Amino acid sequence: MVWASISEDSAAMPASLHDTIAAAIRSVLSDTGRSAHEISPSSLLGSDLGLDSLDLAQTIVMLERTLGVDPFRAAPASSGQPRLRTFADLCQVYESLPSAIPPVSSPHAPPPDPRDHP
Amino acid sequence: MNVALAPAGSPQSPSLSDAVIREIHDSSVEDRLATAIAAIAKAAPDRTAIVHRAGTPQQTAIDYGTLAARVLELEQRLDAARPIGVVAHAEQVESLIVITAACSRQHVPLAILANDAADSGHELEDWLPLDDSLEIPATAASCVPRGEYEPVPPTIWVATSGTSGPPKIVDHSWDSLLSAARLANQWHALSWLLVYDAKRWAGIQVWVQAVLTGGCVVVPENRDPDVVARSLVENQVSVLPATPTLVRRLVSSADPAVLSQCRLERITLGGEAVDGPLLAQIAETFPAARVSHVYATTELGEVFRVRDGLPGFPARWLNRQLPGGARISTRRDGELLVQLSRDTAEVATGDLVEQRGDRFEFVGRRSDVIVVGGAKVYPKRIEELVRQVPGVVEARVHGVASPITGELVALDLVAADGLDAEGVRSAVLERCRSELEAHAVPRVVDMVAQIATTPAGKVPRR
Repeated sequence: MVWASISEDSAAMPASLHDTIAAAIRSVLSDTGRSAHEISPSSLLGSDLGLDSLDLAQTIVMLERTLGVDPFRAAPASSGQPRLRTFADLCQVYESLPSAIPPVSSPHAPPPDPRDHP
Repeated sequence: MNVALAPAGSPQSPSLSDAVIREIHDSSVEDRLATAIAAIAKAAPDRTAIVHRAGTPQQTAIDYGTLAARVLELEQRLDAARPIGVVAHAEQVESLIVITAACSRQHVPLAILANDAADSGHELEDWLPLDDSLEIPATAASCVPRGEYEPVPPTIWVATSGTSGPPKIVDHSWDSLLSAARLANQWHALSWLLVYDAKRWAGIQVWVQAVLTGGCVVVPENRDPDVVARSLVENQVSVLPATPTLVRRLVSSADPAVLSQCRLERITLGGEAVDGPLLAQIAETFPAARVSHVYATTELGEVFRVRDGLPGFPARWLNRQLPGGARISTRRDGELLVQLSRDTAEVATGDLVEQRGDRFEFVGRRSDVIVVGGAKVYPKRIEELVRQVPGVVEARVHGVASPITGELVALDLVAADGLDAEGVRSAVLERCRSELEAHAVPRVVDMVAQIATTPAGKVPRR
């Protein structure tokens, strides 16, 4: 599967992945007695959703358990830290990994194949 | 020969006679274990030395007469074969006792390696393996022709518990093992529960101590709390040496009706730090027992023993010669340093302590520290807090890797039977949020049926 045309448009995102990430964020917030009103692609992770670095770290660990992959660890070291400002930024990190799209059968998904990114 | 165990409630074995005690005392360190077995067997061959499969209907006993005969047989075989060393592959406690007694009196170096420590790069492949059959193969390659035999300094090799890394093999002199045993009258003819792995330092010390004082080693079938409790009651066990983790499991999970029949006189905690709530729980469950905790490592042996029923140790012990001869101090970061004697170097223990009033308390091992966004988190402190939440049976805190903060605090939680796990989880998180700094609050919480312990009986950290 090829995910070459990644845009800010949520329509390009697989709905299930979008939902999975939003659910993880809601679960992290509810653990600390908070809730998110609405999560949209342009929602700012910090000021709109109220996620601090610990919340974000928790979200990523939860997603690693759901999706079987931590894209930050799976990414080559040379690619640098991705920009993480909005909900769409976060989704994009997961989108760029073809193996992250649920359902994932293997808990240890293989690294993305560079040929999928022409 | 295995004999059926005397029915529960039988009187304790009588104490050792003065003549037997003198014979054990006067023997050289290398001869002491074999001498003790022979002397006790001569005076009372039927005295129970080991109880196997305790806590089950299949429990069986082995007496000192049987042990003594096996030691003599093995000594004759060793004398004929003259191996350069022996590796004990035996699993049964009686085999380990027989092998150790025979090897030490015959001055044969011995390696007792826990099953997960086999082949750690030491050159033991030429040593003679002995299993529970105690048979020496006729073609053993390790045996040296008679004329060329030169006894090497007697040593015993033991693997460390490997709580914080792969087990290391440490060599000891027989002296460090056998002279640590307490031979005073009050230690004679007691029943000892062996919940430690019989092939690790802590377990070896238990069976050496028991045999040197005419005691009985009671080996429970497994570490299930009810099996352990039945073993204690049915064999009138008076001494329980164990890790805090194993004792916590016993007092919080075993049948209270069985626990109330225990006649424990001493509980010796070791291998992990002890916390105040556990000491209080032990005092409530076993009001007659004297509780001490021992600070020891496989490399250093016993450094000190705390008997006042409080966690940690008195602050005035720092920078002073302790009764055992050791001197303890701390590094600036709180790591405990031990100097065993004036002539030896200071050893960094990896254990972190912190002064609270007139006590130093253990906060954890250096290698257990979780670093969250640059801030240090001590798992033990969180575990202590979490265990105070009603409905929590056991807790284990560890770190999970995070690309954002380096690590995150993770918590494995066992809820009491019949309670709503989600409710317990919420209560725990609420308590943590109210009492801990944000970075120390567990972020990954898993409700589990039980927390596995290491073969050494400790909570695994990584």
